[in-house]
Amino acid sequence: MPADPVETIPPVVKTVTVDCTPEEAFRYFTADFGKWWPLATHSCIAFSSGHTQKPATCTFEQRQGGRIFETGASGEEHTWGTVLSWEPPTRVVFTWHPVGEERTAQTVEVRFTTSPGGTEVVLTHSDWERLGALAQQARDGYDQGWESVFGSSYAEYARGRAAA
Amino acid sequence: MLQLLRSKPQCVGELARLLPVSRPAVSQHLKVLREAQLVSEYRHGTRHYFSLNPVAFGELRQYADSMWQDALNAFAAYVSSQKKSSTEDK
Repeated sequence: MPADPVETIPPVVKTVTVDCTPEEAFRYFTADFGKWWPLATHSCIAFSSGHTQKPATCTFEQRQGGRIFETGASGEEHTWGTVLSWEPPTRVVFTWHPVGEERTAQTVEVRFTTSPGGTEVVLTHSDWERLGALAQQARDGYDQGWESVFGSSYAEYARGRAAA
Repeated sequence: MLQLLRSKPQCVGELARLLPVSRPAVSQHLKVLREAQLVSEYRHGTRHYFSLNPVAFGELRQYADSMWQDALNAFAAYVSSQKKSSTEDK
């Protein structure tokens, strides 16, 4: 059992306005996911290759229960998450565990709302407590999954900062 | 590598022996981890040891914050480029 209580971790919330309809925004976000996602810097292959390689493709399957995954040049797949709610054009919710394990996956919700500039896109990354509990356990020394998540994510961030 | 460091502090030579990567790759990875303050190093005799730091969890959330900012910026740029072209992209 963790010695310390798991801290409450507020969700990450990001907003952007795009000049198109919510229907288009939803489609661009999901169907075209692999076309806009920064794969060269934010993917499992990019991290594990020290940013020398990137995935061949990245796919966002267009349905509830669909997978979000990257595919390497040799066809190897790495799943980033699974679609929990598929509600075009308003909302999509998916689990998120690109560098971790499904059991500690967080949740990402993306909402698309008509706004004066076109469509307001609000992304909320929550359920950090699932990872927090694991971090606590890792600190107590009897769980292994945390380091791969924390280590690779943060190390990549640090690499990005160092390179900037 | 972090799993190895979790069990006990290791020196570069030992990590290179245990991992399927070259010693320079191990050194480079350790440099990144050290910059990220995930590992700390100390000398013992002639050897340089690396050990895992317990770190504040909020830093991972901070990483996610910057990652999603980058991702949404890329998304907005993509939408702009789509709207600029006169035909629908298939």
